Amino acid sequence: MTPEEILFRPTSERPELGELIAVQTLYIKLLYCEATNAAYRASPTAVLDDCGLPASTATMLPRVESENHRAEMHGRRLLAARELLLEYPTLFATVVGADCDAAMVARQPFFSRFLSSADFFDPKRRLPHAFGIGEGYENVSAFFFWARANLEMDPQAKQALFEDFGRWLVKTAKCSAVPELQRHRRGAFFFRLDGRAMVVTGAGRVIEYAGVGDVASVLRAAGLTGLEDLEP
Amino acid sequence: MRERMSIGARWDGGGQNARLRQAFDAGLIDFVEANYPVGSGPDCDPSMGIPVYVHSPANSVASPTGLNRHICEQVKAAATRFDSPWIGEHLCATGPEAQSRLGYIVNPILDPRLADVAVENARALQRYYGRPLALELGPQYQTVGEMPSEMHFLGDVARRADCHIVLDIAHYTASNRNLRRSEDYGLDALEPERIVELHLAGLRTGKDRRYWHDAHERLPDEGMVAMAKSLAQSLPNLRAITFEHEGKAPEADFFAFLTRLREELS
Repeated sequence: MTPEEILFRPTSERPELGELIAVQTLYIKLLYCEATNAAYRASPTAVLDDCGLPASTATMLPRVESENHRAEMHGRRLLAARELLLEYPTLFATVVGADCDAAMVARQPFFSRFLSSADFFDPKRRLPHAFGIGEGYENVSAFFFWARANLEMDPQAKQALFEDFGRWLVKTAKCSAVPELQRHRRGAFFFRLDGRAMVVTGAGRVIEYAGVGDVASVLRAAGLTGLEDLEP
Repeated sequence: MRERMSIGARWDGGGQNARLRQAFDAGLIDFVEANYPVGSGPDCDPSMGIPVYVHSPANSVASPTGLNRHICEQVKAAATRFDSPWIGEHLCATGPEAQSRLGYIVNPILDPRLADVAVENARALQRYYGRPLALELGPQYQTVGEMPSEMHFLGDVARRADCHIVLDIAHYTASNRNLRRSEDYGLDALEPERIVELHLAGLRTGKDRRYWHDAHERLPDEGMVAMAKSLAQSLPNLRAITFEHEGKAPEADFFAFLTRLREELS
């Protein structure tokens, strides 16, 4: 076999690795997901059974009650929180508190829900990475898609989420050669809960759009991305 | 006769170019080591006329999910462009699928079947790159699986896949402290002649003061420097030491430590 055939063949062509892949998937989930940890603490065999794994594979999984496992989980939560805090400063100042740090973000129940969600674990629920390596290499867009659908937000928080993400999207699009991202270079728009249209410009400024009529169509025709219906 | 030991510094982005250039011109470093893939902008070229060692923390070498073709292509292109003497790769998984990285590398499950997978991947990757692979471990907070330790896993995979090893002294020390092992635990599980490069960086504890983490904003402590000096004398094929110090950390620390490395280790 060529190296390419070994390295890049689909897992569907390697049925003999199915159990290893399932164990590793559960292992990675246990490093982030509180809900899976709680279920596994309560009944390891039930979780293994749900994953189609025999009880013997428990030896390949963390001791979830151990201090070391909790420490690793905590470190991973902090790193994920740091990545998001960098790009969502307005949102987290609004929903967590001014001057909040990554540790405060990491302690939030909504953050646990995000780290337990399919949006976090599924690479396809993200935008392609700016370096041309595909989806699954940043959490900023995953968090946007999750929060837009799942985070209870007042009008101020919703505006903060869309502003922060819009700025990140435009900035990322400008430094990327990936066509799916480049199309966001000209800017983005969203609607506040009071119906006013807000535009994130190509320079990253957020301004209110004063036009009337079918505003969304006008802004789309100008090459701007609608953030309300942007999909991975 | 043994080759002269090269000293290098980690490149994390264009913000470090000025200090790295200055260090190279002053004879303090011989190369920079860059993590690939990198972006495509003007700040994304680590070469500056300085030799580049190519490293990648993004490939799932120790995972049954397979690897991301786009990453491998970019790493190979960079290594070819810079004629990197070897390519550093982490012995890790990255996410639940071949394509994904949730935030930080995932240490491998220490299981013989996964070691077999890692051997197959490492062999194939070495053939694909057309140059040697040097395998590195991340810091450990727990050991998961039946093999005695991650050092035994690394030693086994490197031997069977015929790969070099990058020994990251900060990761290694953090792992030993986190797992309450002796400071030199597991070195005897590695074949000394496979270690071609050391990584040196600082460590810090978390608020709990119990667990140790990689800290590129800090300098290595005296224990880690002593270990590097000892390894530099004893490892037969050691050819490079890479100092990992982030661009936001004090410039004076960067130059002072490189000067010390040059005087004491080169």
